[in-house]
Amino acid sequence: MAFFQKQPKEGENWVEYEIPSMPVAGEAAAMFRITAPPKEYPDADLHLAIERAVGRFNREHTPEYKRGDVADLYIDRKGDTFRIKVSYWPNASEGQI
Amino acid sequence: MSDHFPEGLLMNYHLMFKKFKKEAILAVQKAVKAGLWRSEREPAYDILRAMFTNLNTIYGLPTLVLIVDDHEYYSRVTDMIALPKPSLVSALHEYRHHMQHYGLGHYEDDEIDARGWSVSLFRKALPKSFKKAWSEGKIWFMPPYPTEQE
Repeated sequence: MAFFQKQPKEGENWVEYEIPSMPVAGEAAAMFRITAPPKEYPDADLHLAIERAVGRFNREHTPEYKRGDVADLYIDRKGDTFRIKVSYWPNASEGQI
Repeated sequence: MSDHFPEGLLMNYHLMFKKFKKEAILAVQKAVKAGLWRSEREPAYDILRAMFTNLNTIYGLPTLVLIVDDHEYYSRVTDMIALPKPSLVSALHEYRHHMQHYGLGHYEDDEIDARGWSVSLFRKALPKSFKKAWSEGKIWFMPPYPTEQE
């Protein structure tokens, strides 16, 4: 783990990451808007932060858990940093009732 | 918020909350009666939006936005809930984060709190559906359904 990354907080089947905001601009923004699915997104920044949190969870929890085990995300923002709590459960992508 | 969990209840999320406002129970029942589990995707999302509106009125909370997305989440930044599927328990879980945002949480761990509130309310409002869903493994974070021998 890189020296500048804080150790994540952890609890019962969740882990919280601090994800620095990375404003998407210029050509990258144009490319991102093509791939961003919902029109309702207030900013591409949030979507990118979610993907980075899920990606980091995936890297740190493989092979015990995989991307499809992410159950939900609880997102807060302090200044330029997103605080994203990733909650996980086996086969969450199959959904619940 | 409380500092500790009831002894032995950590995974028995359906027992973590005993009392709910009567109107909140009715709002959940109304969503299912309106066809949440029988409807196509778009009408089902609209039923959840109506349920959120009712719950906001009951708890005196600001409006929130429900969108469809790849991940399930609640964003405090924008008062926004995203659901990949129109799931009742997931919707209640994310709604509990909305309540926490405005100071209505109970347990210190907000994930435990959201799991406990959503599953307990589902059990309270729709006991038969809860039992069936639990026995079929359709509720996340729950322990295995108890067999008759237990």
